[in-house]
Amino acid sequence: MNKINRRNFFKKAAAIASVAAVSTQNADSASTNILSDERMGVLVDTTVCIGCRHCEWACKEAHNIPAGQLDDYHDRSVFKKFRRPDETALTVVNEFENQKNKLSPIFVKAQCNHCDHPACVSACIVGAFSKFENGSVVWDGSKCIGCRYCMVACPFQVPTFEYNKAIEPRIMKCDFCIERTKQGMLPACVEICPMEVMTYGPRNEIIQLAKERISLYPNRYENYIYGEKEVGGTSWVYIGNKKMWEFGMPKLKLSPAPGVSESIQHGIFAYFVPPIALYSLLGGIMWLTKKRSDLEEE
Amino acid sequence: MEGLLPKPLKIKFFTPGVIILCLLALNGLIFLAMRFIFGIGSVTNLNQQYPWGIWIAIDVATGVALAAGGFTTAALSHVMNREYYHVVVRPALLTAMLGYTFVALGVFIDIGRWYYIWHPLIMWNPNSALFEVGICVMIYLTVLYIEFIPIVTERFIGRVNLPGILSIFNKVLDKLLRLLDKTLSKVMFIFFIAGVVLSTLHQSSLGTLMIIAGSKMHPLWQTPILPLLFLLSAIAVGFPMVIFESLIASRSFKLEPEMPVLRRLGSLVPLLLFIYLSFKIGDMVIRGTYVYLAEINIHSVMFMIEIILGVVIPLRMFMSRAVLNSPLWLFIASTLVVFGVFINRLNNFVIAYHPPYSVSPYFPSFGEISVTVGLIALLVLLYRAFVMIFPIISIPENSSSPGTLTNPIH
Amino acid sequence: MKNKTLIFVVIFIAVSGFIIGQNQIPKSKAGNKSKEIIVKPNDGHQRLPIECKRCHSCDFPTKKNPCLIACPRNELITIEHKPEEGPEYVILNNNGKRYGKVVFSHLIHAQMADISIGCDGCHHYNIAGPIEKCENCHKQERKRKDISRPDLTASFHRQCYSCHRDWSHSNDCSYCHLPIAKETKENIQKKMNNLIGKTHPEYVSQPKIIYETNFENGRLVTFNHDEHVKLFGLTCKTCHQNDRCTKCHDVDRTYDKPRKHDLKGQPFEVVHQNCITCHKDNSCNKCHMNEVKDKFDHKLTGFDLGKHHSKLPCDKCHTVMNLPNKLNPSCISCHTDFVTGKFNHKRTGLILDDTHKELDCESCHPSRNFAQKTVCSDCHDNYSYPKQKPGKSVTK
Repeated sequence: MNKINRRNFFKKAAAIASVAAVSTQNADSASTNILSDERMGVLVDTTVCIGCRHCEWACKEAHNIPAGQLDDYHDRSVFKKFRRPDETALTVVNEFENQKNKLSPIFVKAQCNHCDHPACVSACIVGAFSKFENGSVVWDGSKCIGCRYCMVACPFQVPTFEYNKAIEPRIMKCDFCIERTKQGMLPACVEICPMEVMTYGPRNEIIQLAKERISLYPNRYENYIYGEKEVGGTSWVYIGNKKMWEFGMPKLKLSPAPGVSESIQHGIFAYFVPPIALYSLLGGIMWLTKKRSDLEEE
Repeated sequence: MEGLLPKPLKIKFFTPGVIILCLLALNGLIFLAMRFIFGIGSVTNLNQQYPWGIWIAIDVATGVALAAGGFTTAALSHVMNREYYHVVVRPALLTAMLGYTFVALGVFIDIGRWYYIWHPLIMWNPNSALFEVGICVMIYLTVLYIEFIPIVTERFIGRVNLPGILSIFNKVLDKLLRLLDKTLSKVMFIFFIAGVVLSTLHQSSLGTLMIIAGSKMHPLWQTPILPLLFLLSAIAVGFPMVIFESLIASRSFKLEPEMPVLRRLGSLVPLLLFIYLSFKIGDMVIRGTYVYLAEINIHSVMFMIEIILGVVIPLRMFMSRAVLNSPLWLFIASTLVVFGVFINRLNNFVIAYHPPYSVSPYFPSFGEISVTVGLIALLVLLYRAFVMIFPIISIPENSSSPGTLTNPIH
Repeated sequence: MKNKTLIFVVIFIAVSGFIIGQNQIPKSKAGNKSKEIIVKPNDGHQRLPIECKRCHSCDFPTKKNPCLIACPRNELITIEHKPEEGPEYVILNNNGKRYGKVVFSHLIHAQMADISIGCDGCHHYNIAGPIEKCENCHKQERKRKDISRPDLTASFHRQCYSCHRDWSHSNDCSYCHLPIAKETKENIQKKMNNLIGKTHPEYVSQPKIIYETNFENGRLVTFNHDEHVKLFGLTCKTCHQNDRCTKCHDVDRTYDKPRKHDLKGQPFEVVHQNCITCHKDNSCNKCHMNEVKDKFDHKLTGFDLGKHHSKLPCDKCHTVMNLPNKLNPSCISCHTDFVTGKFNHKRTGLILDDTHKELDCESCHPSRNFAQKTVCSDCHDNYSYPKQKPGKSVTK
């Protein structure tokens, strides 16, 4: 309802401004942003991960990124450097020191957390990002213009860009394996994980599971579910023996990331009243001053 | 300003300065070609943590802000009907038109899929600040072109003279121009107002852009009133920018500076700067972010430069009679405001932005700087070409040509 | 009249209520007591965390009449059996897609578990009876409705890695799995052969460990490890439950042994957790002394074990391990069959002759204290045991 109204107003505004008529008939131009109660989620239990990086391999295989041999992923020297997901790896595992037991380092997998209120969906100039009913936040290459505003907006710094492509550079990010889940399969990383570090299920059950585990093993876990409330909640949530910002994740506010900018945006353009009011005001001033100067001339 | 009329300048195009500009532009174009052949990564230092660099901060954000002279003078001259300022309207309009063209060009080269730049026209996301900016800039650019049409018609009506075989169209084209002139003169007021409204909208939306970055932006700059600050600073920089370029132009084209007009424009600046400054300081006090000034780092230093050098000092200068009466001091004061807004935009889009996983800070590459400098050089060259072709700059009625140019600033 | 009846009725109800209440209290007390009395024989039964009725049909099963319920006895392998009773190896992961089979050395692991997590460290939630199949609880499919438990693959890996991570520092799959390409019968057989007859080396323990503490009234704590194992019959895992494998198996030896540092600043319960589970009623000075404590000497308790009792494990007499509770030192408090007519004197190595057979025990053993010297002088002058014997000596 809102959207339609605003669009109509936009049309009128365009007419007023006498812009050359532009077709606005594209039916699927608006992006989807559904926050379903049945959305799926993943619980990442960082106390279980052994850093085998099979998820990295499976992810690449599932997304047609050159992956190489699975056995090569057992190489632990990559952990010397802190890595982030990039255009060649949509998920990466990093190693962190475990203060409680130096022999068992902590491994933390990073990928898109699939926010409940995604900043990228809100920010994208052409609505190339959508949040679907199953919780996934997915990029649509047929719309994207490559402005990289999503990268500016994302609180987790997740979307990445193929800087070295001159034609059709893509925004690369975890898409919650939407193509696989559509066919009833699990996300590739969830499926391959030998330890089932990631538990896939409805998000409310996932949160419940996290709470159960924490209360069952209070010595094993820090009583904090990262992503339960961060930036309004994310589909992927983390538990561990410490709070996640000890493991390189950003400490974030609990309010949704797009909240402030959207309310400002909607304030400035509320049903186009402020712009039209300004237009009329200026018109009035113009008319008055014109009259005055005409009088002076006479 | 009796006796002054806008006329095409009859000057030599090439001077040593112009040749340097040409070289800079050529250098920029070479890197630009590389960007289109090998991708953005081959030219820029942008990475997965710093997606926006100086192409956005300078070419786009600063470009938009400094082209604000167009809408502030339009508001003053057309909306408020202050005929007095008409001499600066045309140069300001040209600056805005060229400025926004280059903003669009800046966006065009910065986005990865430049060939989809038209997508926002049909794919709408009203939640996106960038979408509002994009749409407004597109419409405003169109408005600016329409506003410029009367200058074209004035120049060419009765003088259409196409070479060779095309001369058969001369009459038709002439008629078309006359028709255009007639219609436009009746409806032009719509565009004047639309131009001001659109500018207000996108100047502020440009500020909304970085709000969604949330905690990724340093608290000295991250505030919910960013849109207001952007709008106020754009309004404040409008007149100084007009003064700045008018003084450069008159120096470059060997003309008498239009001091009476500039002085009056300059006297308006302190109020605008003061409003901007009070909101900026008030916001800082309310949010208590002055604590960040106690620690000496790039953020606090850049913030102080932006405020002291870019706002406080010129504010004081514009209040002084002596400054307003001296072309040199007026030029210095205007330059400071322009510099202040430039630093402000750079701060907002680059300095203040610190992504959670940045391993190394972003510093623009030689290629990036080359392209930015090259585009600015191109802009100045086009400006020079335009004032030679079209009646933009007002010169004394009886002289058709200013003295020969020997020592241009450019 | 009516009033009187009413008063009578009220009094009657009150009194009868009182009597009924009185009767009920002893009843419930008796019930409790009878539960306490039931003591499982100390032959492994004690460690079974189950009700007697699960296996026995009668209330008081004896060795002669165990009254076992009909169940598949030969399948009744409980988790409380000795490691050696389990299989030497188990072949896991029979349908692996990316990685081949695992020949799991069950025996060695069971022997290690015996000193640490116990069989139920892996075979958790297993009630007595057949070993539960893992897939009874852990589903084979990763995509499943009930996500509260990890799936089969994950639970296996989690079991392994809960120890292996600490010391192998490897996440190379081929550490356990045969690569699919090399998954031949010969290779599997080779792996199995390697495990046959292979056992974990015996654990060598210090007989006595002396701890230095910060406790002012007694800095030294002497822990007689030998006694606790040999005399008191504690199993390893009673105390070593929380030990990491790295205590022995840290291949890189990077693990700084936490014996002292780890306990610093910890709460009392954590520091003393291994001791206070049994010594909950003892004072500090039971263990904390200023000198090294000697071995436990039963003589000091007033009851010399002598040659007859010294070989017995403590819980033969102190059945519920309530050591401080003094037992009645008279022989017949335990040896209820030490009475005339019932006792077969042959057990002592002396067959009484016909004359002495008829006598009361007290005739030779004053006040039936069998620990004291036998008295002959009551009847015979100048006779003394064992110079003169009231019968014929035999070897026991």
